[in-house]
Amino acid sequence: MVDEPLVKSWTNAVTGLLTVLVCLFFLIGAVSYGIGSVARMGPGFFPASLGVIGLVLGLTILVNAVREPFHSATQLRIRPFTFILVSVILFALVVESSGLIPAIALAGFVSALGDSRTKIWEALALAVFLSAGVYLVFLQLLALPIRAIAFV
Amino acid sequence: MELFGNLVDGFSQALSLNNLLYCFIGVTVGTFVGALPGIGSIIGITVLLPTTFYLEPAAALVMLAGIYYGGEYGGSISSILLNLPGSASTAITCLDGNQMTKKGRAGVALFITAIASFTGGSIGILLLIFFSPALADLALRFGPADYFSVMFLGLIASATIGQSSPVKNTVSVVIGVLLGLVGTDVNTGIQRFTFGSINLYDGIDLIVLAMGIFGFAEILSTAGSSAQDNIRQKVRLREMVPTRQDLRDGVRPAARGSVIGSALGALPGTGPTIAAFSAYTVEKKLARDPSRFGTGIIEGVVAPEASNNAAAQTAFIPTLTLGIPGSATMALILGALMIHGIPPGPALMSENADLFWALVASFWIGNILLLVLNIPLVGLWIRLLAIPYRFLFPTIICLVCAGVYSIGLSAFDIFMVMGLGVLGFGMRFAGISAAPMLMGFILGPLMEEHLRRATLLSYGDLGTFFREPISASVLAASALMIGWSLWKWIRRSR
Repeated sequence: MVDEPLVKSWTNAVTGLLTVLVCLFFLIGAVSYGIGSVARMGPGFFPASLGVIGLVLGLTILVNAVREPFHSATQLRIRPFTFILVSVILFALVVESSGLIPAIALAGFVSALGDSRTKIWEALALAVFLSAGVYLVFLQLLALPIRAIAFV
Repeated sequence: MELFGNLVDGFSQALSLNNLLYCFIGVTVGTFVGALPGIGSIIGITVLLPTTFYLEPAAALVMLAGIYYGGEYGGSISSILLNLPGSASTAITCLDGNQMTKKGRAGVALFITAIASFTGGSIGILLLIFFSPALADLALRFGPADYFSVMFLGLIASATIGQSSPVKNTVSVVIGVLLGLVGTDVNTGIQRFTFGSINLYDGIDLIVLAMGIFGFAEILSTAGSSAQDNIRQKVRLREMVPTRQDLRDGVRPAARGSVIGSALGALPGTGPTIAAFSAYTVEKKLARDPSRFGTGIIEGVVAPEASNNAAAQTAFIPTLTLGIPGSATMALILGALMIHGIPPGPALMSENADLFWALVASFWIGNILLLVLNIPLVGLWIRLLAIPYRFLFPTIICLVCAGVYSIGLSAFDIFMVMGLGVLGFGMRFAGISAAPMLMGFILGPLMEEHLRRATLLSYGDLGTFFREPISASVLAASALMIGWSLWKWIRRSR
């Protein structure tokens, strides 16, 4: 069991550091677009000022890593997390080449298996049900210009 | 009398078969997503937003708004029966609502909740009808400096009011604004933060962002969690009839709750959730015997439910009359207006008067439909709630994928949603709320526009923000809010 305050201060420290890095990135970008003057603001003025604010806030979180109140609203569950990401990547790859219905069936099947309690046949049944539902709503009812199935 | 004529016009439009159908779809979906624990109206709206592209603007907004206030009705069902809040705004209803279920009075709790919700909603709608025209008239006098300051107040309020750390919430706002600025700068044509990718020239799509940080992030953090309680409860219509004493106990709390909710709903940063909590706290303070609260009494259910529904309706006042959303959901509604080519702002009420009054009329029709959905048909929702979450989350993943792909037929958008979803998950993990980010994303580009205009008009004098009376008083309010939250933050973390 990891010490709770330690996790808290580490997560806060990483959050602060990432905030600083992201804001620094935007700040550098903004400066390169041209700040202009207050009377004639350049495209970089507004993002640069936000970058500075974000930088200060990020440093505040970093410095106060131990003090800053922290309650994580979630926890990482490796299996569903991976399965869901994979299912979405598969959708994006399959939808362009083979059409909407195979992509939905695949994404539904793979993401359903993300829950270890779901049996293979349940995931298959859900995939069939979801393909039919998406076909009805998106292609028949809304008549979106997407191919249902394309054979490559 | 002009008001009366407008209302009649509005009702005749809202009662057209088409609009009535979309209103019905909206409130039904709203009740469903509201009743599902963890999935709130904001996810329902984002998932259905792409399907409204091909609808008339009025039908689209009638449906999306229906999801929002329908969610307030649905949320209480799972609070009462499962002791799991269907949405954040009905969390407080668990206290007395679920106790009533344990005493075998679930039917009465559901019935009286639906009535209280309807009362709150109706009072909210009346205020919306009477205050909107006046506020829109006032807003026509707003200059760019005033707009900038009011939006600034909106962002500050979204960051400082609420549970989590104000510093982290402000980070959320800042990142949201920066993401909102991605794309072609309208004034100079320069590409900002696009990395030369054509996909980003038009900026990040609102729907892609919202689906990522709300829908996708929610699924990532809840999928695979341990088994949830399923309802084994049956509620018969006969058991729903409240006693005369129940009704007598409920009248005053419902009235007070509606007033509190209406006021808090219209203010920036405070929405249905804070409205429900405040109404409950007030009832407890006013009660002769506060210890009865939490044991399953009518007052503890009626007050928060009247309050959150009133707040859900008055939240539309600033959104529709000023074009300034008070919450993340309202920011989405504002985005939906823009997607349909309707510029939000005080001119909406004069230039798109038809739309405004049809929408307002549909609110009331929607509330009546919800009354039907939540009293005679409550058994249907109870059965739907029995669907295990492990079947629901793949369904939502598929709806998100299909919906996002249908926006631009581009696989890039899918990867974008995924990336933003992982970001949203990381933010949750770090204790950063996503709602302020969406507010920043919508308001950021508008604020930049007004800031540029204001400083151009004042020849670079920033003092203009403190000399214009509206702007100055709003900035003073923002300063108070910042000071108050800083003081609280320093005291709490010491």
